[in-house]
Amino acid sequence: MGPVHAGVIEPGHFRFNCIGERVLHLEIQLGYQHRAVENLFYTVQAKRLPILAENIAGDTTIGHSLCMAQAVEALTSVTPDKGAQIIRTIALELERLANHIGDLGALSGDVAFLPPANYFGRLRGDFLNLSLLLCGNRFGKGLVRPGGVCFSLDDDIRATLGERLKELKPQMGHVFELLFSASTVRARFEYCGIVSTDDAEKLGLVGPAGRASGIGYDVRREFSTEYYGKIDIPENKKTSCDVYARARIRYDEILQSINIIQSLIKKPVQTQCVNDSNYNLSASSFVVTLNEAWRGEVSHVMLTDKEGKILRYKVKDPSFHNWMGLAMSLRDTGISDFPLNNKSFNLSYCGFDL
Amino acid sequence: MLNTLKNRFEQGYRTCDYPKEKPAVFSRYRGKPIIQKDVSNDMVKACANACPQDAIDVDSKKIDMGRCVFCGTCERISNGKFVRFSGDFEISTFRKEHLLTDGDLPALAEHSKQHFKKLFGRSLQLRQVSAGGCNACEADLNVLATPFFDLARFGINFVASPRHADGIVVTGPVSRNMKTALLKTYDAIADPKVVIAVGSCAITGGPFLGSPEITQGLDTILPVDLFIPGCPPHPLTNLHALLTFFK
Ligand code: SF4
Repeated sequence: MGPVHAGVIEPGHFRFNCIGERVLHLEIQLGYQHRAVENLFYTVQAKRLPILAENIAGDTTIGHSLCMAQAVEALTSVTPDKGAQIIRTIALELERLANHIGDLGALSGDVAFLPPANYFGRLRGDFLNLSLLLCGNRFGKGLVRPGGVCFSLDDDIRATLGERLKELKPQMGHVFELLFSASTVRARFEYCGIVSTDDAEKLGLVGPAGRASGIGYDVRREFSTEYYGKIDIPENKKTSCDVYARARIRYDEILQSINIIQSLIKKPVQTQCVNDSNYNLSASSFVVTLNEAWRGEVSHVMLTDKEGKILRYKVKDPSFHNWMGLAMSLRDTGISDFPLNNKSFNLSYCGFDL
Repeated sequence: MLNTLKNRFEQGYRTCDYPKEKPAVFSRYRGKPIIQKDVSNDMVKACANACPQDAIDVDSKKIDMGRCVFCGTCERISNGKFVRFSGDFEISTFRKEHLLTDGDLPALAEHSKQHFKKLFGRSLQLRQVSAGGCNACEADLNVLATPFFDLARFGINFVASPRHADGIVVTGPVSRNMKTALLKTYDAIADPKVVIAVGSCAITGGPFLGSPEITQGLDTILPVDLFIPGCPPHPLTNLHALLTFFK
């Protein structure tokens, strides 16, 4: 099936090798979203770099923007101040919140439990609007630039953010309870789409998908950037390796993210907004940047030539590893479990196709 | 069961009153640009030079909303003196050239294809084709199905097959690899049909301008009836466009 699917989603082609209803293997063929983003990075003017990074994968705008900004910062003298780091951390967590909540909504929709699907859908919108509150765009576009951020966290915005979080948190808790305490939901989530720790390690699964299969790797803990060094991120790891684990990881991370943001906005945050878009990159250099976006580890690599121009730019979205995980999860399961498994990974097509 | 009911009561009724009442959007939202023409040419030039999308026309002092990604750079550089972005989300047009604007847009309700209102005013079924892009436009089209916007109450739905559809909504800069699939989907829809371009990618190529892998504007390969600018367009922008154009 595909590239044009039944829903409002990105294009990809899926080939199911089946015996009757059993899936032997799922062949995932992508590339329909290819826009030559990596090539654009070294052909366009410097002022377009942030816009390109924001549009690699719109749902991971902050994750990719941070990687790009940190790469430029590493090769120039510009550095973000403490306030900017805090704002970037908040933005990344808001992105995580909106997407994880959306995923839980989609998962409940796929097991035909519609009340939480709708509530999560609405709550996701509320969190997207918090990004809009911060920077004027629901996906955080326009916020992160090399050297800092373009929007400060003024006290009135900080107050609104705090109030909204306080209001949303208990509502979320109740919908979680509704979803996870329903025996029908558990019956569908548990033992569905298992990717063993061994397979996950061989494939190098990252992010919630990896953590659900017993791989504790989290960039926020291991290579902390921005303000994460000062935040205690627990090791989120599950061992049941199924859809339930992937849903449950999201649940844990949602609660943690809310707490992180709440603790960061307790005190006033001051930053000097940036404007400049002329960067003098150091010559003949190489930099790798990593961040834990909501899907997992995003990484960018930048290589400059003798004159400090970008020679090669490489982008790696977490989906690069995880698509194979989806294929593995479907082996020897009923084909009707595909939608549920697909949502439990919720991977990016454009992030993979570039 | 009790739990389900309790949650239902807590959630309450959340659907917005649009179009009767405009919902409030947070103040940093960047909607329709307000342009002051009586500023120095130097300031306009400074904005145009800094604009990552080269969307500012210095001579006419206008902004091309088809190219613009509403990043806010020009507003910051001119300190709001040349460009200021208002909270007005009603920014769609029925002609591409109208997107090159000095802040005035022709009323969308008075467009030339009035027969569309008769044909599709009570029921409009749309097929969405995502063709390149970053998935943000798709995400903000998807939310139209959530309780807050509830598109279905207006008789407008996104359907699974082009055979069920009255038109297509295209997002993304139409990558080379999606072009055939897009044209086939278009062909599969029965006449008369509508084509809607959503987001700056679909309108001009947007952030990917200059890439050899994309089409520089959907209107170069299909007849487009409605242009919805933004990166991505706010869901209310989409809602306004669909309601005003077809209702
Ligand atoms: S808001 Fe639009 S016109 Fe202004 S600088 Fe950004 S892309 Fe250019």
